[in-house]
Amino acid sequence: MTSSVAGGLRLLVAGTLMLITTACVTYGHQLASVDNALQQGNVSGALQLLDALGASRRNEVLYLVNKGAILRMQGDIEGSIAAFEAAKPLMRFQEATSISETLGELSVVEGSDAYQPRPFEQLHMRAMQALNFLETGDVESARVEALQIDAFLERAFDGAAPQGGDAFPLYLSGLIFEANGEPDAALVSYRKAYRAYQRQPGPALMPRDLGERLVYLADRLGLDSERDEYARAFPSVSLADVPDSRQRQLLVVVGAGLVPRRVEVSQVQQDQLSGKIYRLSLPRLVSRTSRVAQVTAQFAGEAGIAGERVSMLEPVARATLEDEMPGLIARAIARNVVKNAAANQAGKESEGLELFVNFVSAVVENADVRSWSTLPGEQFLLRVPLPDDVGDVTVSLQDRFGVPLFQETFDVSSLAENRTAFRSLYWLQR
Amino acid sequence: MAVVLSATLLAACGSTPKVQRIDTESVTDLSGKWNDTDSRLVSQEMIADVLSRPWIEEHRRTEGNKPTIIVGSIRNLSHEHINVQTFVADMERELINSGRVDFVASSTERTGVREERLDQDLNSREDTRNAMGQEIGADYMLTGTINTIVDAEGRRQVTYYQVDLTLISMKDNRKVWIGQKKIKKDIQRSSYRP
Repeated sequence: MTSSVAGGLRLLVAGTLMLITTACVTYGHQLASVDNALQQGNVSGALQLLDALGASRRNEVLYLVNKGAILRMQGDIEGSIAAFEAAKPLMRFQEATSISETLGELSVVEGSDAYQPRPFEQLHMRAMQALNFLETGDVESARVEALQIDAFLERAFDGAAPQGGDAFPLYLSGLIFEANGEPDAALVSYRKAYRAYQRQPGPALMPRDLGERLVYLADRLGLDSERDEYARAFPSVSLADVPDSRQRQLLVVVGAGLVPRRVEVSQVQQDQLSGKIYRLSLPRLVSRTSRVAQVTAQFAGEAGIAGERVSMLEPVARATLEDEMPGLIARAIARNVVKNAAANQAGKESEGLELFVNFVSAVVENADVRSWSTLPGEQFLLRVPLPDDVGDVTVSLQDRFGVPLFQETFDVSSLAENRTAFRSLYWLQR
Repeated sequence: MAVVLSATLLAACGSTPKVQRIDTESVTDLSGKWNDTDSRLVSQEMIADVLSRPWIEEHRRTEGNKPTIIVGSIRNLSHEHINVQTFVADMERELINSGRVDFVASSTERTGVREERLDQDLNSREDTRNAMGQEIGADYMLTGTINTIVDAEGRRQVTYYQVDLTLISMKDNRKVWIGQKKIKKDIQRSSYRP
């Protein structure tokens, strides 16, 4: 075969690659059907699709965290607890470096490694697990999750996760310690959460409720200078108006939208001298925010209590991908070098074989688009102090124009005085 | 034929899990987390300690009967999800079987008993009914905590567990016995995996 014919063939191959690779779906690509079902409000359908996909050993953790999240959204708290607990030892095992997986990523394909959730994903998994325990009334087990969040941060990041991905989990830890009657431990967690929120990229997000807790607890523990420091940082907070954590109250965490989804962007280039084709595939993020802009709570005799946004994962996810990009590009280049060498070696046998190896190498050069895509993109917190005679609380979600999107009523009639109840609510549609 | 046979054999080899029964007293540390050996060590030490202290004889001398204990709150304040009921149940069994101590049902256990008693009041024959108001009050409440201190660097972690149990007099809030068991584990995980 002449070099011009081979070059022409390769051009043809390059053109058909775009069609062929749509059929080369990885596990990460397949999960899009699960996300789509969730965004249509079909939670049970999403679970069925996820179970039908199953998971190989290298995607088992991803399967379990997705399952835990979907079961939680479905209201199957016990199932969600089991799924997250099953994921934990696998995640711990996968902290060790796999030589075979590393070699695979450098020479064959990105995503040949076992999926290890990113730091903010691991932290939010523990936060979800804590919420699972809180909703079953097991504050002690939720406290264990709070301690595990702290232990993970110390072990993996010397106390502070990158991009402030630990902000909401630490804030939730503070809420747990307060509910458990440990104001000193709560203040430690709130302080860390405050610093984590300051580290977060993107638009400033500093919950007013966090400011209230800092001012209130610093005052309650006799830390006057610290109280004054937080009062200056949160000038709209008045100590006299801050709710006492020891009163009867309902805390509702609303999950809205989904974290950005990773999709593949590919570019095929042909070397004009050798005729070989090279493909570079990298992930990019697609936003999936919902229309939820306001959350309010109402009960008999109360006009409406507003909640606030306490977690926005899109900026964290984008900053995380940006941090990963140099490594992704370096590995993609390394794989192209290795595969080029393999094609050259095959070319010593025949030109046709060299073409085939070059073609296959390009086809399998997919981006790793795996991520925990069923994680809520935003979270809102509603703190509802409750008079003793209040039995029902209705939580409403509205868009930025005040148009109602959804509402749910929680029965709190069995909530004793001086106790805190936790509930969750999800709106994943756009 | 050989291929089919091999495929069948391989499938058979891969499908059946391997189960090996082992002695319940054997030490099997897999993950470094709290396990059955830790629970057994705690219960053994606590039982030996509580039966050897003078509070039982002092109670007999002053009250003239066996002390009665109720299990109160044993709080897990550790970093792990630990089932405290395993060693508490071991302690209850050994103490009751020693004949020197009585236990009464805890607040969660007696809910069902009281419901049954109320049902008997309504539905059972008079000579077979167990009357309300005949419960034995506990003399002491058993409470406790499990705490951990974790120190980690790289792939090495040292976990220190401390289990503290206390017997508190229901009469006058005196602490008549304090038991403590400490366990320390050095866990080293490999930096590499296959």
